[in-house]
Amino acid sequence: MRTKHRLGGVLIAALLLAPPSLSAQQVTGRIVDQSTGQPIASVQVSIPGTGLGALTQQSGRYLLLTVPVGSHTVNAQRIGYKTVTAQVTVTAGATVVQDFTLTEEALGLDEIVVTGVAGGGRQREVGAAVSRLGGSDLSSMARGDLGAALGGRAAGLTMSVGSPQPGAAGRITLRGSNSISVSDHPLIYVDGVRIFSGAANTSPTSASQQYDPLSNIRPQDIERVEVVRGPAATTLYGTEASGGVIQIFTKRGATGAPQWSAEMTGGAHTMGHVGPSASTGNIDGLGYNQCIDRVTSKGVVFSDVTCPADGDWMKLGKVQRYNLGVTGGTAGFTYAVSTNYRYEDSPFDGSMVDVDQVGYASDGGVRANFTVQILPSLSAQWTTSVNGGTIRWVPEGATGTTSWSMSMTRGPQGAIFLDGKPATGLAFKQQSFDKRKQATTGLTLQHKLGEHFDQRVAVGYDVNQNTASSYSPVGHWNTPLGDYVEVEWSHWTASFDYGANYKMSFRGGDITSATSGGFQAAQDVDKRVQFKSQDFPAPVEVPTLTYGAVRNIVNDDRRRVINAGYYVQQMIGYKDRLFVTAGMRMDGNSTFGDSYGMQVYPKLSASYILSDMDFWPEWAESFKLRAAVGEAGKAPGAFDAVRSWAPIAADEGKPAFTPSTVGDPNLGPERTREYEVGFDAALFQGRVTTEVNVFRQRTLDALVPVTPIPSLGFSAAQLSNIGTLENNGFEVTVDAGVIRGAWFNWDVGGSYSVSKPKAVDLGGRVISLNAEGVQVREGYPVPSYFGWKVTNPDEFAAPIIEKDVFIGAAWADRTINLRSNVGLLNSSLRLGAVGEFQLGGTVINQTSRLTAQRDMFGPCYAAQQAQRKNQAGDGSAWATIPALLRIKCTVVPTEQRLELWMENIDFFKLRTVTLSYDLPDGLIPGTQAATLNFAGVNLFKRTDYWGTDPEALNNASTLPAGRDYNQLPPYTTYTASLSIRF
Amino acid sequence: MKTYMKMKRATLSVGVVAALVASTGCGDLLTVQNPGLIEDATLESPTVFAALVAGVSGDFSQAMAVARSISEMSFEQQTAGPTVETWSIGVFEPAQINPWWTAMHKARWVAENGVERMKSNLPAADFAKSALVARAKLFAGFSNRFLGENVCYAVIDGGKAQARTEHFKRAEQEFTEAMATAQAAGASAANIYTAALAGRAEVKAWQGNWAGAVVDAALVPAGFKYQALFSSNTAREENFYWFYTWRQWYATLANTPWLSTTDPRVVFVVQKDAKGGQIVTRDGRWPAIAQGKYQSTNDDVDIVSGRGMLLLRAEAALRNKDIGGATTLMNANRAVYNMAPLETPATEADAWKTLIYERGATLWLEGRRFFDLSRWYTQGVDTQMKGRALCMPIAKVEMDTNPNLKGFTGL
Repeated sequence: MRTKHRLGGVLIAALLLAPPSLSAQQVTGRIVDQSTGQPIASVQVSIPGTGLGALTQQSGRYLLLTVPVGSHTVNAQRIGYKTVTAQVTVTAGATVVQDFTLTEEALGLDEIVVTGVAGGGRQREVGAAVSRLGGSDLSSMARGDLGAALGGRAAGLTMSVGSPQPGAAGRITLRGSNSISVSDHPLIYVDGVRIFSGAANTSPTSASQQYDPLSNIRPQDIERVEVVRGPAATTLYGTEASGGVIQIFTKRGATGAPQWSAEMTGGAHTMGHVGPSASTGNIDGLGYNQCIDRVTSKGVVFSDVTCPADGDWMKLGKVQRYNLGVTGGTAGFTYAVSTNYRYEDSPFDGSMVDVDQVGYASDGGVRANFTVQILPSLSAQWTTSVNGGTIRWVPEGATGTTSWSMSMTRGPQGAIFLDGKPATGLAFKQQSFDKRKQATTGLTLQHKLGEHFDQRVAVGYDVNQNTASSYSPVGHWNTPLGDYVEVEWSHWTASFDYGANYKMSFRGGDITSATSGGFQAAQDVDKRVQFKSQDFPAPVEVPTLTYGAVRNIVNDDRRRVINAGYYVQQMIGYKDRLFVTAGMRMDGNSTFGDSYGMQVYPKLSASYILSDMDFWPEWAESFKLRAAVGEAGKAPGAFDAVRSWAPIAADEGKPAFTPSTVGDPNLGPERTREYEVGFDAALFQGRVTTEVNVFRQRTLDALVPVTPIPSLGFSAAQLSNIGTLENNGFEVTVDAGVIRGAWFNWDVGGSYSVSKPKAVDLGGRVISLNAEGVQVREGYPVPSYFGWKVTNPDEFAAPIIEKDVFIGAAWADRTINLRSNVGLLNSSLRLGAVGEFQLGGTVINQTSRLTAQRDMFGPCYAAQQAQRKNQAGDGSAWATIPALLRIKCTVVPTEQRLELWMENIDFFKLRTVTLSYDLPDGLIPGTQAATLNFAGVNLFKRTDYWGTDPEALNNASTLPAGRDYNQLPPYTTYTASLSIRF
Repeated sequence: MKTYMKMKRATLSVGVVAALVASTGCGDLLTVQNPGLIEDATLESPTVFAALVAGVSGDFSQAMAVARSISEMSFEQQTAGPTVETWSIGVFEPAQINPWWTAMHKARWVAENGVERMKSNLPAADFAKSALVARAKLFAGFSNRFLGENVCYAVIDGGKAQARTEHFKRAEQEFTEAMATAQAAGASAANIYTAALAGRAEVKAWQGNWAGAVVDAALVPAGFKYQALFSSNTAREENFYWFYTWRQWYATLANTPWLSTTDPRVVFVVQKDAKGGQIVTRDGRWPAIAQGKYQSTNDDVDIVSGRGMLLLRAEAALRNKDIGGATTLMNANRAVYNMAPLETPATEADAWKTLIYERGATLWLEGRRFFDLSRWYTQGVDTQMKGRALCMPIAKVEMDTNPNLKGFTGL
């Protein structure tokens, strides 16, 4: 409650800041779509050089106040439309009416992009692929946070789900994996401020329960997102950018009266059948939906004594989301302020153990952006956001005796009992919380000096804090005396960015030049301290760390990493259709070895607007050909260059050392060089747009974890710059307006992305990334699963096994996204759907393997029953069991091999289906517009995978590959919302 | 002219910023002192040698965690973890050996390297009489003994494969030097001297020098013990037997010959849930019956003991066919536990059977049974290891990384 009051206070303050809107001269008008005649909202109308600007409202109307007397050029710009200008002459005290008609420009060649382009540039000037996503693209995904909404929205962007619980991190990769040992996370900037872009594993109980700052950004706050996917475009970001860059721009507001928007969402999370389908012989899947009268393969019938009365662990989990925002401004000052709150319950029923909320997320925040035109040539943008919240985690994952999903799926051979009977609902009493805070602030000054020169300086600070805790009260089934674990984690990112640009033109504008240079520095400070207190003297509702008789500081990890570098870039344009850009970045990083110096990353790109040539056919009105080559890097870890020892306690609490890192004074970054060619095209009057990219990445000096010789004392793998990797692929995106009409229109689109990361040279080494068969080998995808293959799987015979063979790439190497949108009644009624295929991934299916070993995995029942009969002397049934099931499902403990449980996880999911209806004007008094939205998320799945779910993976960034180890599958979510503007 | 002025001002702005940045000095800007890990050079100072040797002891205790698996491969406990590996039925795959090999060699290398580091940084006179040096040498001996008892081949510091007896040779050398250094260090190192003596007695025996072993063993008091230390102070220091039987139920006494005994040296506790129901092990196959020798995270594990010396001497006597002498020594050991003396076995075979039981019960869950059963099987006095591997192969990780082992298929 206190948080709500604070949020309200900030909003009120923002409103008070909104200055009065009356003044002398005004320019006003209405902007409509050329093809439909409908008004267009959110068009940016501005008078260059005056700092005056405004956004059109839902009615298409705009208002520019305090316009100086004289002649002016008025610009009208909106993503997806051609920019239009008009000359107006303003006299003292007069109001000038200037209407605009905008024509769709699907390709947006004159739209400005800033990511990966020094000083920003028009799309036509950029030689590498830059994806732009509008805010409405993301908010229409009906997802609560940005991380979830980004999945499948840009070709080459893959979002792997971690825990399905709101606020949990996923894993974002752009163009697959181009690194063995270093995180593939892209760098993330919000309004020019670099934020923490990893996923922090802070939970003391489950590796998949990670903190993700993207979950604090609501799609409703976003103006646009720019995504650059590889080093050809990210060179200017230097050492930490080979995984790509995502830049998020939140709404900034525009001159005009305050415009409010609000959205209220209600709904429910649920979960359908989990695990292998009934067609595999499995009736109750992995047991999520049935907890009475389950039967093991031995024929043992059992019920969980904590099973809810309806015999199903599931219930509907409540979803509530609220967003409220206001934008506006006056001459020289604009603002956008928003606040949000959400509460989302998990769909688990803890009624039998008196737990009302088995898991939930409750969080909210405030975001405020202010822009001040200090001088005609100098503007300042201040952006800030504060978020906080609490997550109670459902006990999931491979956490032994405290994981509900692990014990539940194992039935009578789980780990949680009452009176000798399964009582897995007791796990819901485990209290695991994240209490999170994030504050981000940044100030950007933009200075224009004359027509040719401009400079920009930005400073930013992003602070993330999380207190993760896990409490087992006195009387706990696993720790009867109780214990309490707390992890205090914080991450500070400070960034500084200075850039200057000098633009000129020659020969009557035929030749243009843009010279840019700048300096960037970022400091990341990470601190993680874990405490444990156990053996409590008496039951207590909330313990402190001093409550237990035994208290430990389990871990204390603090590291600071600094990266700093200069860049220069020169762009030459010819006749506004041919552009060549060259640049380079020089970088230093605190993680480099002492013997390693500054690193230089070069880039070169070109774009050619073929459609501006006379010979070009008219039906293809926009066509841009582009090619780029560039390098970017990834830095090693903070301690990798240093030979070091870890401080430990030994000899019953005495100070001591143990070997830690071998060290390498020559350690440097790995460098990824990327070649990219492609084109962007708009055909048939913008009805068809397409983007095609072909890329080839080659990672040189790849950081490879080399296991030291164990008889030499050090055991931790040492990163060395010894490898060469490559990653080749392509991306095709096509969007088409199949039917365009006032009463009915239908757009379809899709993208197909392929990335094939492969190890080229590892010096003959085989790099084992874990003990579950994830390896990197020359000539194979990075990384891959190597295990056992039954070469006669379907024969009714003894299995023939080939050992140590390639099973499959760990991560999906092909994604297909499909979109369809239907508009009716002047697009006031819209039906949209998004589907996604992910193909080529492999996972170790520990959930099913360990469940099968405990006689609880349906697809193995027939084989296990036949094997037992065979052991008893009756081989008739055994003769009908194929070879694969004979060995995979074997009941002989020492024959049970994890090497046989590496499985393909190809899947298709219907990600979202949305139905939106714009209510008639005036239906809700006092509103300018109102829209009703109904949405379903994760409604349908098709897969042959035998495990929990192809996305129920513990894919923490610290792990080399996903593993299905009792993580929860993604929720199915239904929501209804009302959005209003007033 | 106007354009020129603007250019000049622009250039000036860029120049000022560049100069500011350059003036910070990029080298200084990127210099970071991260707390946490300790640079190797820090260990070159006598002021940290106490911590260095504590670490030697700590890494040996870590290596002793291998003993939990050893107990399961030698019938002291039944494997009951979530995964049942083939080693539990006496079939080793080199990849299974990786964690054990790494831990045992780390303990050896840390101890031997610690001795060398102290030798380089201490005056010779101080080095010769340092109790810390004596203790490091003692652990160098223990870790070599531990390796020699369990692995098939000795691989020292990334070198070639040698016979496993190389570890016993090194251990004997280390124990002898530890004794000399401890003696020079005086009374404060007396227990180190005795522990080294006991360790030397064993490795002499394992090399076939039973006479020498008896001489050393006889000098060790019956009540003496030197232990690997464990503590609830940190998770790393916790007793591993306790963890895997009281906390995780990865091992049980079910399905072992020890479950039927009433011997006070072999204690066990049936694990029950809050309502008194029988808890099952993590593989779901067995009732969780936890060993009771280590009922707390703090319980230490004997590395050498006077009781072990009595039984070593008893075995030496039996090898000399002195059944009566062997029985006397076994009874001396039983007296330490206030147990009734045994009748003298009628036959040599019975005497061996008795010794095998007595040594098993006395040294139960101390990480010695695998080697004992293996050597007795080779000697022909016991058959429990029939059809099972008698030692651990070179770990896959050593084979993959050590260039001196390329193509090695056996001596």
